[in-house]
Amino acid sequence: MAQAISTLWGPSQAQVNAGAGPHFDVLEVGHADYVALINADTAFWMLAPRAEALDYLLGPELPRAFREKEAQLTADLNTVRFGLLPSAVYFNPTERCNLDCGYCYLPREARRNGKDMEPARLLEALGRLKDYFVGLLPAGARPQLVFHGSEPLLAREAVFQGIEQYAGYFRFGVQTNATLLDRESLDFLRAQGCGIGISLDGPTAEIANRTRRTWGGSGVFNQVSRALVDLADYPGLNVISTVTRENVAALSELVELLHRQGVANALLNPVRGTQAGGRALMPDQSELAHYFFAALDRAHELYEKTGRQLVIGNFANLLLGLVAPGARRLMCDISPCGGGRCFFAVGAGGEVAPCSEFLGLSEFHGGSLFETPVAELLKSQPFARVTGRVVEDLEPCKTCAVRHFCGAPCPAEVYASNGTLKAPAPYCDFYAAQARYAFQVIARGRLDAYLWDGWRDGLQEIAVM
Amino acid sequence: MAKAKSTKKPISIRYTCAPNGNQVGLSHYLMAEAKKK
Repeated sequence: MAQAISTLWGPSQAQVNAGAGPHFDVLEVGHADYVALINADTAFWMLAPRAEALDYLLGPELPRAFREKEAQLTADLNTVRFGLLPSAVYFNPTERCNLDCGYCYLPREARRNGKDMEPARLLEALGRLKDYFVGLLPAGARPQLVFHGSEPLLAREAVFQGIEQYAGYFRFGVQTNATLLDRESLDFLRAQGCGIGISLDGPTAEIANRTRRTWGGSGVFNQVSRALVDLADYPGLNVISTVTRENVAALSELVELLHRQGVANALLNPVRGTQAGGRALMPDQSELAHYFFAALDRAHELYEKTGRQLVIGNFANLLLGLVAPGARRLMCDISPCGGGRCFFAVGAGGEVAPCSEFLGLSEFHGGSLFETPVAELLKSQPFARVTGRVVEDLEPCKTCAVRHFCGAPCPAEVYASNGTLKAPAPYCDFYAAQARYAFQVIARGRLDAYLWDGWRDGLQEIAVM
Repeated sequence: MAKAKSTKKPISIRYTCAPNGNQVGLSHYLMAEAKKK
């Protein structure tokens, strides 16, 4: 009797890691009991007990279960990477800033002497953006519009007029250095339900003021601290800290300060090297990994101790990238990145770029919001360069097991640093270490402790193993 | 000699969601939800 299935490939009857069979990388995650087995193309992973990893790779269960769900996993990841509609805008209402932070991604001269967008012009811009989104998104969808900078509250009159007129349509956010957040502004933004992001780089004036200073050189830590007290109970608050070589060693203390103040959401963003000032302040990757993971550990300890969570958003987003790629809230750690496809940026002159990071790189401007339909801007050649950048085209990313948990960000800093988009992330080693740390969190059963409440809402499980 | 089975269970977690135009997808800003008063 003829054999129905060849035994050439062993008992699994699937050509694991050969021919057209599924490929699984083995990744050391630094956990005593587990290693990760990863099908990188679909971002599928399992944590296998260390002593049984080879049995899973060579046995029938894993390849069979994977094959059954492979199409669904592929479609899920492809939707995140190529199938999302634009739904957010970064809007810079002025080029000017009252601070001179050393790492800003916008050119210094523009921040000092640049232009503002007049109120009437800003309202016209929001109208054009609304028309675009109404024609694109399903009925009832509310795109996000984040006033960003430079310092958006230097154009407060225009910004507040825009929020008042379009509050029923856009979900608004304001990212501010907090120095102009007076009582009137706070009351207005709270009453409108705006998201408010404030920037704070350290737990003490001595540390925070190293990078965030006025043009005259004065630090603004005390002003930001007062705003933090005023906003502590506001659910729309998040704090952004830019991690540099000046503050990297104090991240755990910063986490303690934010937690003590009642902050529930924070980002600890490693500084981008899009401008020379940022490149000069980039921390060493080993130091960054050490102190960043220590800060995450500290946030978890404080949660265990108090029952009150401080979610570190950029790490939470990586965790979501592992367990629910489509539920990501930030789009830097996937390729193509979100720039130019999930969101785009509008400068004070109406120029449109894939992301705020590209506003200072004019060769990536798609054109003017006031002269060209948004849909055409998003198809322009400068945008296509960014939206076409995928890890499959990059060395060493194309063979990296965690390529879809990293995304090789950020194209703007990669371009500014290398003169080409086809280079890996400047923080490549850190991102790989961060993925391993995320697997440790999962292996320890701490996933929920690092993620936002209700993160599973609206999600469906794909049970592979 | 037969290998002892680990007391640890394998872990695999994966969820999917349908994009609906209200997905949150930014870069260096986190939209924390606040209700209008």
